[in-house]
Amino acid sequence: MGLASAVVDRTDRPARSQLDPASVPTWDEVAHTHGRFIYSLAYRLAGNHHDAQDLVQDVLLRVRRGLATYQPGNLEGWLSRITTNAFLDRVRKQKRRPTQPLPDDPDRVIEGSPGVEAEMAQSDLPDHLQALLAELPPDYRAPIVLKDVLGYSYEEIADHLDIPIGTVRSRIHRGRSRLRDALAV
Amino acid sequence: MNQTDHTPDPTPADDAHLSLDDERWEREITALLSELPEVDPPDGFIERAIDHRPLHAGRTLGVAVCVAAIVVAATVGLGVLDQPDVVPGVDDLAARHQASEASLFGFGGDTERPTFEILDDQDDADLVLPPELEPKGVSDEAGLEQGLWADDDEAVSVFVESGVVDFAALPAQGRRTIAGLPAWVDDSRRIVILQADGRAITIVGLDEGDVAVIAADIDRESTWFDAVTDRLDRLTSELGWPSVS
Repeated sequence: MGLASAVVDRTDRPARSQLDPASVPTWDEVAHTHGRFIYSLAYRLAGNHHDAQDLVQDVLLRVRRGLATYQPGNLEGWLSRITTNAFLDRVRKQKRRPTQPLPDDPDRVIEGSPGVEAEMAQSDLPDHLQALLAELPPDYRAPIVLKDVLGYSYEEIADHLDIPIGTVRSRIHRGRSRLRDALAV
Repeated sequence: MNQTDHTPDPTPADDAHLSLDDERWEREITALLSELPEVDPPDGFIERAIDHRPLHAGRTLGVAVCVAAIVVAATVGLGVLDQPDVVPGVDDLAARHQASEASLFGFGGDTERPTFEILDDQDDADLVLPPELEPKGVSDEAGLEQGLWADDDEAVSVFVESGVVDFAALPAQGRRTIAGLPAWVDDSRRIVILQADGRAITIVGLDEGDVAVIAADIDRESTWFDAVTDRLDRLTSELGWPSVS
């Protein structure tokens, strides 16, 4: 079965960072240069713009504090780690004081939209895929975003999330399986 | 972060059950996800974040919202007063804290309990506090402001009074200097009094060492209460605040 693919040309993206990787950037520099990256990751994790904005606020505060001890190196990796952990912290917080049901039931089946193949053939595939991504339990969603959207290795993800590599692999596999099931409906 | 996960590392045998069709599906899912474009923030969002302007209706970046109700009302226009004029009522503050804890955790007791304005919208306050320690309420009675934070096991109160602490009026054995700030400590009741920014800060529920960590990191140009709320998360992450089961 062939899947319609929405190929997006990424070659026109501006260079991510004009900052000297050997120096510690200022918070303003990070926000200006990497704000879009942080927001995009936050959106993929949070699933909507409102929560993404809240998450980015949290992340920028954490970045401000973290720059005091930041060791120059992989700035984007550092930012993605902060963003992902901030997201998961929020999820855990919501679990303790739920304001709305969370899709965390491991047996829960992600409902696919009727006519999903037709939808995927259209330009709204990214939105549809994002919607399915947002349906995943956060513990599956985060490693999948890091692996399949951002291209991190299993080892890097394990370091980001402070979990064993085996756990990373299993969560990614399960998350992909759920997406597969939803897309196949 | 401290996560416990008992999922064993997979072995090649674990993947043996995957059919070629499964592998193809995984590759296709991966390909789709890898092609998701970057998402642009709303126009001006990052610039407003940098400028600390409201990012969307009803919200202000981080700490300002968390502490504004307490700090702004009390500190606008205040300078550093030279003459000591405040002697924090340690017994009264300890009792207030205990009453707050009782209210929070459902203990019994007849102690008069302060009236709290419970923070209905936790999101703004929670921007700087860790998930294990949450703001529970703020109280402002007759010039004494109290902020209450707690997890499932313990609570911390921070009382703020305008003025200069008269440390000479407090028992001598408790006088200390914490992170360069004049302080007074009651170890047995976990009470720490600090003088900062023209205000008497009384913290109930933290050990002297914990307070020292917070105080050592204070940005002296920011309000002290902002610094407290900003550093409570450091306390949790670095000093092992009891985790929530």
